[in-house]
Amino acid sequence: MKILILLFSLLFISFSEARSPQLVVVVNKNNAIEALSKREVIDIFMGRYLTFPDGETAQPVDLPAATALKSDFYLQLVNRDEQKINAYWARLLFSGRAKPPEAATSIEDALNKIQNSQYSIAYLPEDQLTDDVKVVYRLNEN
Amino acid sequence: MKISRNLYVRVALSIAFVAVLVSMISSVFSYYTGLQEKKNTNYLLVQQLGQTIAKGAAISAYVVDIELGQEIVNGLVSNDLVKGVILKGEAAMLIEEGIVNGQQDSIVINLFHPFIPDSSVGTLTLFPDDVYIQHQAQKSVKKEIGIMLSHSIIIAFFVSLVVHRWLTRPIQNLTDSFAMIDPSVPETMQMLKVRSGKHDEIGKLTVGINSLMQELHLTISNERALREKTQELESKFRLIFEQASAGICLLDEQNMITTFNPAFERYFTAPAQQRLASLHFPTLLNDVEKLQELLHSIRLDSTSSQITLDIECRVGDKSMWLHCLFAKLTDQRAIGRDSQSNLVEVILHDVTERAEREFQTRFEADHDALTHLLNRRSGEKKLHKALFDSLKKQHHLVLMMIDLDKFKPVNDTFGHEAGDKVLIEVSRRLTSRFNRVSDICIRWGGDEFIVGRQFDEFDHELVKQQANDVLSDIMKPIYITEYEQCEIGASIGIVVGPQHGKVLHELMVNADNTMYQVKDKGRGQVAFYQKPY
Repeated sequence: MKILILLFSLLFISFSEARSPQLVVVVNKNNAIEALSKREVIDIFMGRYLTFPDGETAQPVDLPAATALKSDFYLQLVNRDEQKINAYWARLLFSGRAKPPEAATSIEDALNKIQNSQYSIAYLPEDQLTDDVKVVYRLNEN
Repeated sequence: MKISRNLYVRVALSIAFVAVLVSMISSVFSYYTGLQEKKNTNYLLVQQLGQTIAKGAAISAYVVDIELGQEIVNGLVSNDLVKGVILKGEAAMLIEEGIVNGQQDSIVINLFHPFIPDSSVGTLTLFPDDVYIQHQAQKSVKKEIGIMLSHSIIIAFFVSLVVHRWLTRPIQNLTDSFAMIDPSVPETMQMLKVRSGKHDEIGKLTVGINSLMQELHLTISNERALREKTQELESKFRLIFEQASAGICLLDEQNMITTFNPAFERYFTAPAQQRLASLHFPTLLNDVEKLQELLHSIRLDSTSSQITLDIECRVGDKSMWLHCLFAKLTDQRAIGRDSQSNLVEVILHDVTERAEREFQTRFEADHDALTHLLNRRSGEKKLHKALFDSLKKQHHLVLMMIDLDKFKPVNDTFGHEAGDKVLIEVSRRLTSRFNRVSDICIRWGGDEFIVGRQFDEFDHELVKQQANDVLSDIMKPIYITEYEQCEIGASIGIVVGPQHGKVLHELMVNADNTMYQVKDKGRGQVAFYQKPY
């Protein structure tokens, strides 16, 4: 019995590990920005700044709602679940000054948007990276 | 301002006044403490309000959303407790709403980064509305004051009710029944009504008053009885003093009359006069100096306290005799205070009549009723005295024994009445010649007379001359009636004491013998006694 519980636990742990891929924040390869701090990433994604630190316009791109990736991203970035993030945006939507990031339909769509726009910024699992994008921030690294 | 004089109203008013005063003071105190407390509470509330809204404010500050910020600020300002709000974010983010200046007490809340802990993105400054807070505090204090005042008034009302019921009314009853009492009319000093079964202070007071009054009533009654007795006694004494027939007066040390009764005044007031001629007692009487001496001696004499004396006095043109009793008075109340101030009481009454009668009686006893010369008994006594005096003073006493001649025929011829007239006339003639005070004229027997006279120096011739004068006087005619007259003679024997006898009896015998010798020799002669050899 004990062995069974131990086995299950091990299985569960290894499974969880497997469901949590490394997330990275990426921009167009041509973007002048090489790296961003966590704060700068937060400021861009949470609507504080509409520009990159160098003054260029920033267009954040979100992954589809209710996905594990989106949830993971916000948990790792600001330690809030998706519902809280939605509430945050709902509050800000009232005035209309700040807008939530544009939502992509899929990871591929997100990649497309970055490839097409020099100002876009998005987050991806590390294993989905292509040569057209540039990693500016790795989550859980600081 | 006139306040009701009723005790219970005044008590109620005082209580109400104190209660109002106390509630005022406590209200003011509670107003200020309450104000502070309320202020603190409101500050806390405002702070909590700020905390509640802080998250939204932080977000608006974070994204520099002025509209959101404005909305939040408006929401805060619309609250009664908040007067003004400042929301300050980074860069140009500064929203001010309401009154935000002129106040020291503000609540500053730090706005933190919504996603990064411990990172400030701005401040939210809240200004609590002190005026509103004060207003609130005032409102509650007003309520408090209202309650306290109504408490005070209710308490004052009930206290006055209780005071009236338990204190004022019993005291009023007591006062009313006390007012019935008039100390000048002891009959009204009745017992006050004691409320039965009441043993409070008023009951005790009533009992106390009753016992006091009883005591007082007794004292006043005794006092009154005593006074009546004294008055009665006094009126009696006054009656005695004023109605007394005897004159009574009191003399002080200077012999001045201090008190006198009506009888005294009557004695010493002349008919025409209204009052006493003098208040100095001795001057009222005849012999001033002697009386003063007498009074002086009475005062000095400690043994005898009184002395009686008949004194003659003259009031107006009337002379009278007063029987005076002088008594030294020692005022018992004055003893020890001033022993020198002894008064003298004088009681006197008119004895003029008695004195005159006594004088008359003595005169009648000593004198012959017909001739008013000394009778034999008193004459002999006087002669004894005169002889004694003469021996002592070495004077001479001349005695003439006179026997009338031819008297019996007159008696027989004209009757006894004529005889009496002769005797009276002879006596008159004798006394007119022997009229000195010391002269002694005696009717010795029926028609026998003796005349005695004292001489400092014996002069035989002078005496003989005087005897012859007497003889010639007697021999002058005597009118018996208006038309009839008679003549008589006399034989006179003269002896001289002490040459012719050292005792009266010897002298008398010698004088008698000498006179008879004259009769034998033929009458109408004068002869001196011749000592036998």
